[in-house]
Amino acid sequence: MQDFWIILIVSLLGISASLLGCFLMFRKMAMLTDAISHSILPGIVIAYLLLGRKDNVTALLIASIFGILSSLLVVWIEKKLKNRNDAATGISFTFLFAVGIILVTLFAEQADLDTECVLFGEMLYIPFETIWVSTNEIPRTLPFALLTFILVVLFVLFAYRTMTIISFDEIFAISVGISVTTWNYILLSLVSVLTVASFEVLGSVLVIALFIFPPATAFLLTKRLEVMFVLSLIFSVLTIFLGYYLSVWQGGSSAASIVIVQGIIFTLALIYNKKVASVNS
Amino acid sequence: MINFWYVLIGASLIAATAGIVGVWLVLRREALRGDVVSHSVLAGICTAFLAYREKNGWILLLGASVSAWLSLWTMDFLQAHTKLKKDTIMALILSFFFAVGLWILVKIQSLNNSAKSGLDSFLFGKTASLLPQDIFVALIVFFLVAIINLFVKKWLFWATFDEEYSESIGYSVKFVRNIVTFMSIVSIVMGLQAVGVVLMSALLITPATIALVLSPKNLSNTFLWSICVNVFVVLIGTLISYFFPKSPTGPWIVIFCSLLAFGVFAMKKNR
Amino acid sequence: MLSFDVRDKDDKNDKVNYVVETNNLCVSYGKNQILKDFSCRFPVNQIIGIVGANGSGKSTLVKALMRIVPIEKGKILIFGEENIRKIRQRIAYLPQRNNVDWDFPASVLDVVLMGFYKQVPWYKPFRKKHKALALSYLEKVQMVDFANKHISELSGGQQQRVFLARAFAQEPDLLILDEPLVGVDAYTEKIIVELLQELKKQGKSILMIHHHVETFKDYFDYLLMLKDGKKVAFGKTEDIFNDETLYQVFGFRQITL
Repeated sequence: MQDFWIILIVSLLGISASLLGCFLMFRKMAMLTDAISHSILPGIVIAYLLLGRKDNVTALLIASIFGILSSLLVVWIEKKLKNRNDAATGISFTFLFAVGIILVTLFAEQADLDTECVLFGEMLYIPFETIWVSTNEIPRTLPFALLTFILVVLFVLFAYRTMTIISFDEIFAISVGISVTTWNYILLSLVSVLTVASFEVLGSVLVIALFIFPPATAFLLTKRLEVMFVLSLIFSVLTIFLGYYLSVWQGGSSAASIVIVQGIIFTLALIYNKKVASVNS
Repeated sequence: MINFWYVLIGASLIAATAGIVGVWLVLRREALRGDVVSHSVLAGICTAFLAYREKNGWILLLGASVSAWLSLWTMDFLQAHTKLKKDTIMALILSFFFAVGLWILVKIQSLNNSAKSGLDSFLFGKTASLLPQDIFVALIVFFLVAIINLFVKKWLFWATFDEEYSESIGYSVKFVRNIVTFMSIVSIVMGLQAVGVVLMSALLITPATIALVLSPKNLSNTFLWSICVNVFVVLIGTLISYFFPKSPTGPWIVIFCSLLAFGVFAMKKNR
Repeated sequence: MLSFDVRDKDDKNDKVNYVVETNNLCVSYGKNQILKDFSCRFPVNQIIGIVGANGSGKSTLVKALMRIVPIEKGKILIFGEENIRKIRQRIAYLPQRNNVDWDFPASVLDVVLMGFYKQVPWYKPFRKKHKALALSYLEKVQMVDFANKHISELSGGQQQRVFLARAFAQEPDLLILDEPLVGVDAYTEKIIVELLQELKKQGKSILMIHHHVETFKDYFDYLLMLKDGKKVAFGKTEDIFNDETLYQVFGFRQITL
């Protein structure tokens, strides 16, 4: 039963992430997941400190503030350093992450966090922290994960066509009246929400893999967008399942195991892709 | 307080090396690449430790170098053989190598081995863990990088700003890239000891950007500034961290350096 | 068949003589002012060429019309309307091909279907009739056999034809093209020009940026000649296109063919 909860919740997050990841990949925003996941750390720590316990909703609100702060910081730095967006992003998110790490090390007990949790999450505790909903006992992280999942699915259904057009030909998109900046903001906001939700479970760095590996793997296997989305979804759940049981069998970090499995599956897809290419040529 | 001086000198050498290389990374817009490589070395360090079961500086650094080189090679391979975009590839490499490193790290922690505690310092840095033999390595690396930089500065400059012209006058762009790669790897491997894997890219990028603001036109001065700022922030950061023994040195160095950067930026007019 | 626009038109439309009108338009890129006090009026239902040397402001003018770049000063009226949101669905824009992601998983048919963006709300899937319509546009540009191919498999000219089909799918009254004939094979050029003339016969207006001097007389009814962001000449091609204006704009006189 414990396994079930863990796999369910991580899969909800994983599916959401892989769906958003498809868009992120085409919008060239893959490394923004790195930046966002680092930038929100101070927000999460402060939220946990303020409430004396882990509360995802408050964490989301405060983390969002830091997310916005991070973007403003990047824009400000870019004004001073013309045309160095990568450096501006790097300075901004490493600074915020460093602040977060200091907060964690100084207030570890009050915030119920340590640097290990920050780096690779604590998936295995999911079944043990429960809340009561009427007469049912469910994991604390379930409602937020479920809500995020629904939000993301709605967004993908709503934005599919628009994001496709923006990804393929941005100028055409603008010419038909699509507000590209607005859609960017919506996409990145959802990424932030999902990152906060996944934070406890996967940690700051490995959450990137959840967004990018399934879509990248699917991209190698198909030239049709609908198929890509479906494959991403499947790979996400598959690798979560396999990775989790790998960690049960071998020990070690569950989150890291999942990413390693994702790497292996990606490599297999790469080999297949090359084989198909050499057959065709 | 002999140890204190060793730490001081070692940290300064490490900082100076990072200062030189960081300027090139920023000029060549490879800041994120530096971040990917920095995260990737965790896999190498942990593998090396697992293989040798002791914290031997040379072995760990060798492991770090191997995984740094491997991550760069994989990035180039994927770029050449798939239609995946650059940023996607970087995200994949970063998270995968880091995951491998973390997985091995957790495994190591479950072993009963007294030497394993030193590994944590590679995550976020612990300047105080520098030993006299490390100083020796740091010295060699610094001189290596400084001399290489002195000789190839012109090549790197042309290759960075005008690839076509560079090729036309016989400076191979590919060769130059390999030089920058080599310098990045050794400086990252050294710098880890001060700030750790997770924040290493900050040590490369932030001081260099400060230097570029202070000396935007004269490249030689830029390098000098970068070295000075880097040494300054590493030393001050390490000092600050002494007051907070629960925290590693890396974050304090980065926070101090970033605040310094913001101050310098604020004094500059908008371009 | 190219479908004729059967949307409700109010009388106001019949009274508008100019499809595009600019008054004292100023547009800048950063510190450089590209268009300075630019005023002109384009008559409706004509094929109008926008020509000039590199950097003369042709692309900027067209992007400003589409509000892709911001307007510093001045007014732009399209179909007599200043607010572009009200009449966007009547304009189709064919940009230069630089910004396209050629690795994006889209077939030729998918690209043409993008042209239906405004007509089909997001919650409605594309029905058979849309697909059939898209295929008919592909047939017009003679690309129907490529419908299921990935766009990266096409030549430059073939890609351009597909983008033109997408523009047709938008059923525009005004078609704006930015250097559509660059890097395109002779056959494609012939098809595109013929289709533009067919559009004109159906009452549409066409603005086209073009650089190949020898074809100005054949392709365009009217000509707008630009130099350094200013209007050098505008009028019927036969009236204003001569050695003098050619020299002013491009710096050479034509060796008459």
